[in-house]
Amino acid sequence: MSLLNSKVSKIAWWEFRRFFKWKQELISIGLLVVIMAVSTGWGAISAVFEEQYTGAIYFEQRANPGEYEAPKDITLRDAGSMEIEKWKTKLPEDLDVVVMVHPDNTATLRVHKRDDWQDELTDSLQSYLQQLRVAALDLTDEQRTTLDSKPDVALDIAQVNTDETAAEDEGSSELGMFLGIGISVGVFTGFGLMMMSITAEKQQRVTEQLLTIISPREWMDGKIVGITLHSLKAMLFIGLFFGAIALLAASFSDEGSVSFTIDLFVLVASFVFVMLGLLMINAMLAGFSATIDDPNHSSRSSFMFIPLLPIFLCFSVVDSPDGTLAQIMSILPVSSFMMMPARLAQTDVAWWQIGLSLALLVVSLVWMRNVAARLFAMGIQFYGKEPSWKDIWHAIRG
Amino acid sequence: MNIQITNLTKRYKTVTAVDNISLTVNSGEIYALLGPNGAGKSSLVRMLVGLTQADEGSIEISNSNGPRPQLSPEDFAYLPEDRGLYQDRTILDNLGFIAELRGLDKSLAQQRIEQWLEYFDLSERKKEPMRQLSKGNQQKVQLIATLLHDPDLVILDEPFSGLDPVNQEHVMNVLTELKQRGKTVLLSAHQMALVERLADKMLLMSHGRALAQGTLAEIRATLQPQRVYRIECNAQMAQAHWHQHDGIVDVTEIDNDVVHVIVDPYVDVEQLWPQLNQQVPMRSFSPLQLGLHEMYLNTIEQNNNKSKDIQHELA
Repeated sequence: MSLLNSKVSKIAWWEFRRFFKWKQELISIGLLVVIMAVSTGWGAISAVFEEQYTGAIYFEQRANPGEYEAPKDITLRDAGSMEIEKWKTKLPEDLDVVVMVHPDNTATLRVHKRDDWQDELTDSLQSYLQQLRVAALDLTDEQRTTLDSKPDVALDIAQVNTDETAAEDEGSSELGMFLGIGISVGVFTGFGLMMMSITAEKQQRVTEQLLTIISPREWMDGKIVGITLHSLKAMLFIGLFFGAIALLAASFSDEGSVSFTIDLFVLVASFVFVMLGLLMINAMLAGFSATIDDPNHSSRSSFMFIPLLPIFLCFSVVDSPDGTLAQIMSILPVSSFMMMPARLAQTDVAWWQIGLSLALLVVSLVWMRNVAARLFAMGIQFYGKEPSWKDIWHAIRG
Repeated sequence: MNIQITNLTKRYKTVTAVDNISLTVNSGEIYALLGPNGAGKSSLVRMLVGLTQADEGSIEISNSNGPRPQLSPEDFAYLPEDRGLYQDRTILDNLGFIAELRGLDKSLAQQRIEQWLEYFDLSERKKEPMRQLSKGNQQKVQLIATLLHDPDLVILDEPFSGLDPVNQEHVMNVLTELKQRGKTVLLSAHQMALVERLADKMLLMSHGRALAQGTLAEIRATLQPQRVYRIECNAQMAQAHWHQHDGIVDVTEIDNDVVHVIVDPYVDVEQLWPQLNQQVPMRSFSPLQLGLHEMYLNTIEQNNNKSKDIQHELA
């Protein structure tokens, strides 16, 4: 039976809509829009609220003082020697700073009190005075150019993969970590919704009537697909959210923008792995949930955390994509849907590893889906009580 | 749609829920399974709709085209005893979902939903979540969900429970109309007065076993072989004198001037009345027919007494 026949797709859509609350979604999207708007418009916003400082600059020896350009939030006018003499005893209230540039290309700042904005002015003056010092040296044009430009430092990465071909770093461990967080969010979303979906139906007594219309397998398949759509939606949202946060953080920093590139193959392969993995994990969670009658009184609820363990283990090896443990975890179905995309984003992965990992994931999904349907069919025979571990084992064996 | 159940048995670990039950439901009939809670009605129904498997016995389904291997979802509708719908979704959402799963065309489904909601006076509330409805109204929505696809066979487990008398009548009318349209209805209930008016045939169950089955007259013949009479006389004297009289099974004092007398089926009452009248003068007498409810209770009581006697003898 196809995973997406007509009834299954109807159930999947029903399950998706059942937990899709417009109000909450709009609040989340609104929050996201606000963060993105703030991050993109932060320059303009900060300019409005930026404090402006005024001061004066005095060159003890230079003839053309107008050359120095102060930071944009500081306005300096040229001062005369008489004013400087006067301000040595008392700095006027309308001036935040008086800059005195000495003949040896050093400077003194006279201020009312210490503040952060003075650091920016100090940096700016240091750069300017350094240029003056270089200009004062008796150098040829070639020497000046050499001094003005920074020396090259080449990055030579010597990496040998299993094919013993040269490897190229395609991403960073941050990307893998980011992916891991996204997948964790997807899995946790599935965990919560699947548990709620199945046990609430039992408590609301929906199960018996629907089972005369659809088979346990169709019902489970529909749930698995519907809840997986929610997991993917949660991942997409968290991705956009983190993106917006990164944009916001960058707008506060000197860099002002965030950018990373990702290969199309890596993107497509990652999507396939993540989707299959979420389907498999949600099938596993569906099977567990089907054996629980009342989540408030069942000791079995805690066992639903087991599928999450391999995902947490992945975090410890995500920055060593070519380590033995990372390679094993990228092939085992319980962790491959997180580890394989993380490796693909960071390093070259052998084709046989990708193929084996994908095949094992598909086989696990099919098996887990069948087990979930069998557990569900068995669970509904136990009116008001939970099946024993022995019953569960029999159902798993089919 | 005809149903032939033969020697059906279902056992759970320590309990035999259904014990060697056989019955036949013919097309266009209303057949009722009667009995108190725990009698085995729901277990029997669950086997019929395929939710559980029988340990012994067989269920055969046939229609005008001949025998069918099993019931398919299109053929029948099932209202379980253990029922409910999605509480956080509206009436329309719930009914729309069921109609979709039934494969109904969208416009036809919409038309039928509107008609049924109108019938049960729920049109105004169709956009309200289920949790805001009373238990009775939720029950009506559930019944609509059951009947939406207009099946040939309707199986209803306790359709009257939770309904007030007015809505019980509504449901009775719906079932009568289904019968008139040639549909087969199998229902389980413990409201015997309602079923007495509605069902063509019935099966009375207790502890998984059949106590009696057939038409009301056939049931009466099985459960009430003795004749019961209402006699106006001095009740105290009647109790004192008639109790030991040959051919009298029991004398029950109803009030000072009325007694109910159960007469042995083999006695000729024309000869009995003068003898009784000699002992205690009778002002009037008339035959009395017990309702299904009383017959059932009497039978259960007799069965309980019998089993107590057996236990006593064994002890």
